[in-house]
Amino acid sequence: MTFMEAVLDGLRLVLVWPAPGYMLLGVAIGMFFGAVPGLGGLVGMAIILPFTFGMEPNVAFAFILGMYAVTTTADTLSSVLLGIPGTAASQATILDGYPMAQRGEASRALGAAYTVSMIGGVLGAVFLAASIPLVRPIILSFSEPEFFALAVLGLTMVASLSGKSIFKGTAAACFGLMLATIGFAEFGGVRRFWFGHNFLLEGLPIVPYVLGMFAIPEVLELAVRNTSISRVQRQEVETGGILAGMKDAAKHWWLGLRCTVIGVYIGMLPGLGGSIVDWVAYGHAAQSEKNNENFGKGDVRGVIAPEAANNAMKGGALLPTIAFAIPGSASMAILLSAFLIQGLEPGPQMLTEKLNITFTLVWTLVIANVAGAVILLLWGSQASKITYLQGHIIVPGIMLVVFMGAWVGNGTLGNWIVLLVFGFIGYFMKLGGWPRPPIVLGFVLGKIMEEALNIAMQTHGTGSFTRPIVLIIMVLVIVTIISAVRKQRKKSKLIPIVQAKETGAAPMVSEEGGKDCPPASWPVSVVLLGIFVYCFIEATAWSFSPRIFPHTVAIAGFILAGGALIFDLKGMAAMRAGTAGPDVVGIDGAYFRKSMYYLSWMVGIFVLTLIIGQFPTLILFIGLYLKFWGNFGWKVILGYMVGATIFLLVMFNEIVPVLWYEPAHLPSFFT
Amino acid sequence: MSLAPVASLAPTSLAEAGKTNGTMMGVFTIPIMAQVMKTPELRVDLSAFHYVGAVGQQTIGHIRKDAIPGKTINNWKDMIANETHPIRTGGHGPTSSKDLRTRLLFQAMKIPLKHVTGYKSGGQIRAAILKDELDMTADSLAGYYGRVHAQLIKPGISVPIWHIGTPGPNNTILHSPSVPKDIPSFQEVYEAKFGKGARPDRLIWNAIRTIGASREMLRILVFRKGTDPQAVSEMRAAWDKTMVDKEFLADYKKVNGSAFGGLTGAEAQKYIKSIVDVPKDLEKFLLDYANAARG
Repeated sequence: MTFMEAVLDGLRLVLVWPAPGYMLLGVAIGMFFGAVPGLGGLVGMAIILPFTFGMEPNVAFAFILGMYAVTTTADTLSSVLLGIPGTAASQATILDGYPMAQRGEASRALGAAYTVSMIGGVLGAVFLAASIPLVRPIILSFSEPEFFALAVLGLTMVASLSGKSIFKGTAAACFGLMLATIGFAEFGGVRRFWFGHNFLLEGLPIVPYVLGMFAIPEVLELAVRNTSISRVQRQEVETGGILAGMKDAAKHWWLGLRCTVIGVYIGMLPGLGGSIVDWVAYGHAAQSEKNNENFGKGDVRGVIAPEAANNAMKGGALLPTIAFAIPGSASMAILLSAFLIQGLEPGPQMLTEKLNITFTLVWTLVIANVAGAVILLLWGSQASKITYLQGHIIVPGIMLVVFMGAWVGNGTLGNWIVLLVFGFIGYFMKLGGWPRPPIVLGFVLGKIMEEALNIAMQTHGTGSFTRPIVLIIMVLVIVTIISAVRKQRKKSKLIPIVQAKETGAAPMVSEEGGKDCPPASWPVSVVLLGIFVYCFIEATAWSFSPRIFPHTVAIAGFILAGGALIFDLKGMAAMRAGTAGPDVVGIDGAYFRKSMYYLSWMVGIFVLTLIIGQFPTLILFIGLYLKFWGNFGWKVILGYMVGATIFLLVMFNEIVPVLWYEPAHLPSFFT
Repeated sequence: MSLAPVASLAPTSLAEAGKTNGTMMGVFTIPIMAQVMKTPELRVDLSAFHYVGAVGQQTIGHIRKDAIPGKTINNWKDMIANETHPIRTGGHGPTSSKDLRTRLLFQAMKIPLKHVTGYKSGGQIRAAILKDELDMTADSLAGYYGRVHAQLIKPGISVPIWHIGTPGPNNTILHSPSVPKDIPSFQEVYEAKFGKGARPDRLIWNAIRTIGASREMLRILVFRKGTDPQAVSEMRAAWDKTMVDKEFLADYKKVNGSAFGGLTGAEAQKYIKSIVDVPKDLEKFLLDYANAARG
């Protein structure tokens, strides 16, 4: 079979009934699993895999890949509309997507995101097809030394995610790196920072961690201020919605294309993938685009970059799986199982005699990406209306999604503890003007860095750092650092000029990485200093390989957090002397007290769950919140509670059954 | 100090938080070594579960044909005489079962090895073999037929060298019926080098036998202690039927590449006792052996 014959035969197999029907069913399921935070493609694939027994290979792959292709398209919904990442691959989207929603431009953000998701997904599949002859040399030339170098390159993005203070950004990144070391270090056979809890041996669970860092502070803001997500009225928005977003995507086609290529090739490297691709693309955009001062404040390019990359990544991720039977992620491991169920042997023959099957996968990705994006584009305007609803009416619903999203991974109370702890941390960091994205970036890169360095030193020794690709990447690292430092200097020179032009009162609370709030920031600096000291001392007892990374991070983190503290103390002194600039703000006492009151409600959810169980607590929370925070009437309250009950029962008892927490002293309602 | 605690989480969680009304059954890889070596995270006696059944999966070792410079390894016989050139092997961590097994087998064979550890998955180890950074690893039968065969064996990069085998009478390790005849048991390989009836150090041999025994019930289906007896007996009956169901057996072979080998609930309940009750000196030996590899 020639290459062209394989291409056409692959298309034929995708279009033979019932494959298109199953593909559309998969797309519908994938949109649902992508849109609900905490579910994602992995859960969806695990659920639908058993249904592929008995299917023909083309039908089974249309079904599975139809679902898999669109989860990273649909996940944009909650990232943009609620500031909650739908899946791990859309974390970076919230940095600009949510501020756009706050500006009343949710439709525009969704329009841009879906358009580039579609194009990224399709081009990703095309690149996948075009890369088939190159796949072997590409995959084989990247090893642990190159992975380590790539992770270092990724870390340099911290500069572009740090906002005003490079000290705070880099100290936060060190905190993220340190968090990545929690759990059982297989390579050293040592338990690290686990505090005697089995739950932590597998490391910090990423979904509750990210939901805590990003979602809780935003929900809190909605509850305390009772504003809608959009800070402007619908009639004031003149951006043209979905269509304007599509035009943005067309205008920034070159950025979209670059990020598509980034997505494909990161996807192709096993072990990197989903959780970093959006950050790498975002960092690339923030560093390479001109006029980048609005990144993080609602720049549409900050949506285009990660969304193009995370869909394109899926095409790339297929290659090592089908060509070498090396699954780069848990989702790909499930796909590998699908191959085995179908009696197919993944391996080099998938690129030769079974090339038509490979092209079935490529075509499925193409068609599913287009179908998913078109459906979502048609529906995006309606979905974006949620951003104009009153805060008190949407907070209970979001809380339900956040708490269940954090629960669904492994169904333990530990997940809720992580959610709440990082919710507190996220809130105080936001209040103190600490950038939160570097913590997540450090966390996802930390694991890759440490593991890759450990293996690289065993396999290649110091020769790891003289390999050609490593040297090229290291040059890029140096160029990136120099460029970031120059931009930072330029920015700090521009700030006084911009401030002089600004009119009106300064906001009452700090914005992330924007305004400084020394009274809220210095406690964060002190806590981080304490954490780094504790980690250093704790790690001293471990053997060399599991100790070296946390020790290095602790030292760097201590110095950087110390630097941040010095700036905080200077800011405090300037505030006392009345010489602080307009970008330095104090704590709004009333806002802070109300925030603490709301956070105590969240702790209340946890405590009440221990007493009466998870399900009744969540329903009760909705009722109590609507009554005491929203002052709604009983009709609204009861209607909401009934709706939430139905949602929980259908969603988490039937579709994705979870193990509900029920205290031992009460009879069980759920079997 | 203990062995791979993460593998202990699922059984501990089932034993402590699982329901007893018969609606919650655990299906996981059995962490035998965690129990043998008294891992504190394993807060349940594995023999205290109600066994519904078990699935066995032998482990196949395979090596790159060019692992020894100047020599092509066309089958296992070509590598056993090597006592000078270190074979590069891969594992997940000094206390992981794979590392322990690999080091024990090579030590018994007196073949030097350069062991690289810390890989997150078997897939990464196989990728390293493809890149010629490692020479040898071992995979379960399902992994061998599902992944290794197409990736390394069929293209002529590697050859299979052994499987551990099942403990037999009189201090023997027998060829597992689920493994093709041309892939020898470890005892066959050992005796080919050291002579019929030869055995390595007693503790090393017993450790290998224990590991071999654990492969016969690698994946287990269990209820927690105190589960409704009717639910246990109904599920056991269902599993017994499944084990002889022709459609299931055909699907199993299609997916795993080898014939099904498993135990009924009653068999598994007896078998687990025989594996986990190891002498104190063997327990100490395994702990010391694992701890010696920590870097």
